[in-house]
Amino acid sequence: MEPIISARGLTKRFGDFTAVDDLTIAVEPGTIYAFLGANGSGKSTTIRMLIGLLQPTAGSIELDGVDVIRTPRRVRDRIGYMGQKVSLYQGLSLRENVEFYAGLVGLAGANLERRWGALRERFALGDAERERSEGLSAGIRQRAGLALATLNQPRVLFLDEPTAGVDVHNRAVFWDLIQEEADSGVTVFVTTHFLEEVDYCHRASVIDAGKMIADATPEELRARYTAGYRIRVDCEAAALADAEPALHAAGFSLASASVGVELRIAALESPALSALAAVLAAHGMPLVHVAQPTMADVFRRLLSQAERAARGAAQEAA
Amino acid sequence: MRWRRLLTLMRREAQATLRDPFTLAILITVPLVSLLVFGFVLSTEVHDLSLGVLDESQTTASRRLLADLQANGDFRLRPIETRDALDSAFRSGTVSAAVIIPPTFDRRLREAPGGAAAEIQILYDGGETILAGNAEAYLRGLIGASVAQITARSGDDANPGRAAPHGVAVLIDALYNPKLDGTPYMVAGTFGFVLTFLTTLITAVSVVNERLSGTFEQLQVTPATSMEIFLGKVLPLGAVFAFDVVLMVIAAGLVLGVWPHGSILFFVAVSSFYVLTSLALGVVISATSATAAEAVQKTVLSSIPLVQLSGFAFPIRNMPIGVQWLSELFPATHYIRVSRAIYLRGAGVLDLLPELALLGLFGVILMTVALRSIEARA
Amino acid sequence: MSDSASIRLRQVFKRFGERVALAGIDLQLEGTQLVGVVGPDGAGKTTLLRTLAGLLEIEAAQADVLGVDLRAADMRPLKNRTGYVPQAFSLPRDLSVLENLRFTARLHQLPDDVFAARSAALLARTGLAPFTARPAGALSGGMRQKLAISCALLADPALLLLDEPTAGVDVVARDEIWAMLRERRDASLILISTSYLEEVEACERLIYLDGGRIVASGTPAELRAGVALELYRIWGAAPRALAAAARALPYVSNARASGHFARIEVPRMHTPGTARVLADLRALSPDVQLAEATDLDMESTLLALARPEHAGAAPPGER
Repeated sequence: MEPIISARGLTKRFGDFTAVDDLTIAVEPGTIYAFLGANGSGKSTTIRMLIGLLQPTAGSIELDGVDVIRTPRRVRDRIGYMGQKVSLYQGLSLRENVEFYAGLVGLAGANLERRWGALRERFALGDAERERSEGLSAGIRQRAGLALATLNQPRVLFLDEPTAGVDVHNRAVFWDLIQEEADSGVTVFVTTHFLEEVDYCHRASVIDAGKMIADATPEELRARYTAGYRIRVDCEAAALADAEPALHAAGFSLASASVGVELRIAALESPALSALAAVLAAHGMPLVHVAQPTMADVFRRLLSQAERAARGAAQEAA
Repeated sequence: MRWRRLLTLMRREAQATLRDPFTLAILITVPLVSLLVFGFVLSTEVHDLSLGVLDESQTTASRRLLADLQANGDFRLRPIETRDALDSAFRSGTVSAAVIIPPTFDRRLREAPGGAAAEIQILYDGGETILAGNAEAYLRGLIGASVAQITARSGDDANPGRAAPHGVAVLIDALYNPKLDGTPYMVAGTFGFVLTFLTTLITAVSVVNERLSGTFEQLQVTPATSMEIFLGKVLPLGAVFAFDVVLMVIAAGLVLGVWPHGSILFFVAVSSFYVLTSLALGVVISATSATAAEAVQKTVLSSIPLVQLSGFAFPIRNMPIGVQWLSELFPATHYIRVSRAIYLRGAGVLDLLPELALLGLFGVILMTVALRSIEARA
Repeated sequence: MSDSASIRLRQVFKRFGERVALAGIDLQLEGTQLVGVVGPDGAGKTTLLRTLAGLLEIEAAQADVLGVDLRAADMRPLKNRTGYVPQAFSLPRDLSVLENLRFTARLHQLPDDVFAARSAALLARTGLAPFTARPAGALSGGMRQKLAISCALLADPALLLLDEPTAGVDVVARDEIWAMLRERRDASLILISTSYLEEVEACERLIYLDGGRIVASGTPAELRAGVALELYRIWGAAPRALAAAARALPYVSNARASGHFARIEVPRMHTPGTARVLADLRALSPDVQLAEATDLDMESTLLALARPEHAGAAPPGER
């Protein structure tokens, strides 16, 4: 399928400083795409270029058929954007903010009532509607920001650290909403510092010092940058002996543990899961315990590798 | 151009404007009040002038003259005993004009046709140029009329039928500013305006920004005391402004030719203390403002009446009594008075004791409030 | 005045006008340790930390921090021995790294030799040594926070208070900051609020705040044990559909999908037993490839503490 967001050779220089260096991004429609990077890595600059707020020094960007560099204003109808600080006007209630932003996208009257009614319901904003925006708690604020970004039903949503400062519960609720959007065909381009949220996404890319250092699915990242999964099966090693060829074929390696059998595999994709399921079913459904490498582990490995590479390159250049 | 969008944006702007109390104040209240103030309160006519009276003649004629002055004019007569006392009264600003009736007045009046004309000397504070222009003409006319009546009457009493003698010579002198140059008046007043407005503004904004950026709270978690924090903020700024004062004095002198008649040291000392007072006011304003913009708005809003009512541009004596009392509540009013006294009349510490005491009191009060606002825990 | 690192709060209340931010806090902490302060938004975490730093007026039956009464007028004995790192970076941005350290040292009246030794150690430890001349405003987020922590540590505080010091900071810098804090564990009583689940696990002790009250406290293990929930995971394609299906089971209180699995929560008082649950989960759909009973993690623990009605049982350890 054609990517709905496609950037090639994207570069941005500010004087001598190269903030973004030859980036390639491809986002499939209807997917959630995580874009990660430390502060100062070029992340915000990249996003601003993708939504047409900043002119790149070089490269091309196409978004839903629009050439973003040549006609940046045409992008605005197709996207919803939620910045790091949700821009609600102080002194106005949530409802008044909604009316304002709706007015800007030409949504008013009965149409607005219908659309806002639905959003208010889904996003649980009914109680907060009449409250002044400065009085809203972080969780409600972020949901309101998302609601505003989806007012005109855009095809692509750009969310910049939408869960910053939000507690565990509200983060979970928020990601439910994002996943619902993706289910209904909206493409979501999101950045975050909470690495466990990467698992909600279909694909993740990482930018470091202006360069792309990773671009893969969460499982591929696990396979590449961690020691992989460890699955403990509560049964005798001997009992699984006959299953070993099948397990090996699926990518598992076996090791004995103090209790039961330990299976190791780089990534746990569907075929491997099926193979394991079959083996377990054939052996009386023993209990299993899956230790999944965390995304934090992935990033530690990824960033320290990148740092070593950068130092190596600097030493070569010196 | 989409009209609906334009309407949405306009509506937003209107909402924001009408909900912000300060913007409303600036847009509506200030223009209306200014209009009323300018119309009712500020006038450059001569009203209620404090007129010193040195009657060295002490005769029926002189007393009649004075009675007439009192009756016909808009004066508050203040009897003064000696020339020295009169000098002092002028310097301290107690009187801005005076009538001196010399001992020879009565005799010369009666001898009028043949000998020297009777004299009346009128002195007024030439520094107050707004007063000066009006008062001179007014006084001259008034005294001329009064004198004419007196001589007509005395002629009747003493020599019925005899021709009325010549009038009285009225000598008018402008003290301190014989050329009636308005510049020194404005220069002295400008110190007051600048040292009030700018100092308060800078401190208010600076402290608010510190509160907002969190650095203020960061100081509060260290062993630094509130006094240290307050002085640490206010003394360096005070020093800069004190330096400014010296610069302004020199600039006014070299460029405009206006030097203080009184002691420059005294002037700088008083100004420096006043600067600290204004800085303290800035700290107090910052404690009540949530944002720097709010602090600026409050300072600006309080500066508009300052210009109108502090005596900076318009004489206080011409305002209704209620407004005069209000004006006395501004520290700036007192500083401007002191500043003018030193610049124009060379007043010294003794001459200005009451005003200095009042300034001191304002200073202590404001600094205490400022210190409390820094100490206060949320 | 005892020198021990201790906090004794009894019935501490803090009101901001109408709003009650702290509604009767009872807290006893003795000795140096690393304590996490967690809870939903608006629970009062920042207010509690600011109170301990001596910044707020409070009402209390007892409020002793490091032996100093929080209601006293002179907070200096407390401030001399406390380091506070607020949520937003609040050191002067125009001062360089070294100038900031020196400014802090002077405010605490540290002798020059002490300052030299400690600042050298901190600069080396944080990796800020090559940046001593850079203005604080020009540092990246992680470096700024390291500078703020360094300044807080300069006076060798007995009490260290940190309000979300790693918010928005990348994972490598976060690791370094935590390493520093762990090294400090024997020298200071450290209270840190955080919303990163990994960091919550790393604390020795946790205080869970909600609505201005301490709802639960204990080690992470104790907190987990105190939540009467069983946690299961089902692995398979389309985990969102699986989660939706799981929600239909009568005893499931919560089901959420992420990545390749759906996490299913079953309150202990409703559970029909692990074996039965696993069987039911496997039977949900042919898409279920693996069903697993797993230990309760911090995410479920915190969610359950926030919504006790969803956990199906009241949380324990009312402190």
